Amino acid sequence: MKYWRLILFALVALAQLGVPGSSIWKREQTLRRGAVWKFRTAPVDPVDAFRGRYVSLEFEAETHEVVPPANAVYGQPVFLVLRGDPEGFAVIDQVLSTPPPGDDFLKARLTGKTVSLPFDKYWVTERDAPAAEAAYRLQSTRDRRNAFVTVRVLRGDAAIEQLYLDGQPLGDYLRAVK
Amino acid sequence: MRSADRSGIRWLLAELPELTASGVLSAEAAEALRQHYAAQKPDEPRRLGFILSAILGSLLVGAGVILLVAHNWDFLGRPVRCAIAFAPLVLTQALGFFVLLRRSGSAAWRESAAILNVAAIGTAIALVSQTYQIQGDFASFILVWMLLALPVVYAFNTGLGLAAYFVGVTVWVLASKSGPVLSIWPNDLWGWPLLALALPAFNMLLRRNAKGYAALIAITALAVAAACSLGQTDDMGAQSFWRCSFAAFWTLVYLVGAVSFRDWRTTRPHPFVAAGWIGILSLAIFLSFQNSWRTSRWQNAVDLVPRHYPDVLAGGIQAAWVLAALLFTAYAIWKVREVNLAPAAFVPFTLASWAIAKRFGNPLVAALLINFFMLGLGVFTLLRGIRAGRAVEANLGMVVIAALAVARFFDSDIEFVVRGLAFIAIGLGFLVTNLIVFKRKARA
Repeated sequence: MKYWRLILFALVALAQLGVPGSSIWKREQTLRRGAVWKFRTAPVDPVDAFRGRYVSLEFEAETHEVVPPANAVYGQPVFLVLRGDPEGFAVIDQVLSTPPPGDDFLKARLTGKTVSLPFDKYWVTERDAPAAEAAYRLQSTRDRRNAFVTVRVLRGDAAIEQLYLDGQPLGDYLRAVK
Repeated sequence: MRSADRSGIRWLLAELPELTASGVLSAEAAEALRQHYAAQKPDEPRRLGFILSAILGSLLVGAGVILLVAHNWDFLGRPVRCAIAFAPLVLTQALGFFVLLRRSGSAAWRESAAILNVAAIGTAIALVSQTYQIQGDFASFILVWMLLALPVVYAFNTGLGLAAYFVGVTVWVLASKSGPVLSIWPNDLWGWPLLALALPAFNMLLRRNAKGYAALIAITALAVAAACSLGQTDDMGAQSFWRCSFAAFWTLVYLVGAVSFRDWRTTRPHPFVAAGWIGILSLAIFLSFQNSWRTSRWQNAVDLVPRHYPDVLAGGIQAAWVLAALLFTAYAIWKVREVNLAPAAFVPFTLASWAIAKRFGNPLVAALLINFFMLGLGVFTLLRGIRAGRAVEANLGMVVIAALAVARFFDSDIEFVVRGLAFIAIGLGFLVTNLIVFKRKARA
């Protein structure tokens, strides 16, 4: 009677360790071996810019129309091949329905004629949160397009490395402003 | 001795002196009764207090850890933050093994270990997500959390953990609805299998102690989760059918309280009886207005012919609720005669109203049927109360009639004179009923 409970708990304990563990493993791979891309962030609705302790991000790349794969339906997962623009920012080169060869592609979701990137939040500390919100809003308004994030990309997975404001990582920028 | 019967015992012990004085019981018999019950009493309250304080303490510690984690300590490196994320999880798992091996007989240990472990899972996932900037919406976070928590409920046989799981499913159902792309996705229906996964645990809890407070909390959480899932299902299936599916829901709530838990306490009915009455009355009042049957949704294509898999399945689930209510009513009529089953007539009446309104598009007949049901329910309950000399039940019948009257008071379709006369009649009815009941009581 007691043993099935022990075995069940042992199995679920492994699963409990495995779920966060596997996300760490996947992320570490991407952060170590993934290609670095810079994504320019587009202005967001200021009211919605900040929820809890993360900055809500929107990207210019999400506003550009793409050529979807044949027979694609709304909301289906697609694979993006990126290329750099003259200023070094990521632009979507191809939208495919199957993973391309190589490691340098990311998985996203098709939203009609545009794509939705698999990242839209940047977690910040509770202490920095209000300053980060104000700074991000200031830096990503339409005429001052100075906000971008660096993203590591490896075989579909995309890991946000850092949010840059005015060319500096968020932490450095906030310290400099203070 | 069940803790639930203790109020009855207290009453009996208080009655003893009077019973001995009037000669109903001999002094020896009274003393024997007193000793019989006193022998079983002492350790009960202390144990309950211990369980409660253990659970409360665990909840506070769990919540504190979650708040600390939410602060997001950026000066710590990734490895340190990962270690912090895993530490509570590993500790609670160690505690869990200890409890299963050495303290599995103690409810306080089991409940506390389970709750701490469940809190630690959420903490670990959330902290890893923050550290690694892992994206993903709130709904999927809750879903993973609940799926990892459910086996804990089984392993530790915990009532409170089960209630927490039901609450988690409710949150998931609501969150997946407001999600950015999931609003019309078929996975809204996944709330049902999630609830079904926990039903064996719920059954185990009921078998262990159906009259305890853990079972009451769990069944309340289950009812709330079912109501939220049913609301989502109504949105996808035949939309206008929500009237029937929620009539069935409240009827089932009432029947579970009145029939399944009919000997819950000696002195008072199960809280679901009151909840069922309130639900049935509120919905009936709403449906007694013609306006609630005037809807453009009758012409909705989904309403007329569900076309693809999730819609058909949702329609099937709606129908299943109605069928379940009807079957439960039939069972109660067949087996349990002593319960007032008139509220259960709400389902067939609503079903008939819905069919008429849908077929002929005529709100008048549909609304009249519901009015007729309420009047019948009120009069039946009133007479039942008078006959049995129960003032509470007789007045409940009057409350139903009065609620119907108030609803018609605000109904612009009826003339003032008619309304005025009806009100005078109902007021007189109240007075006469109470007079009859109390005179009978005085005579008895």
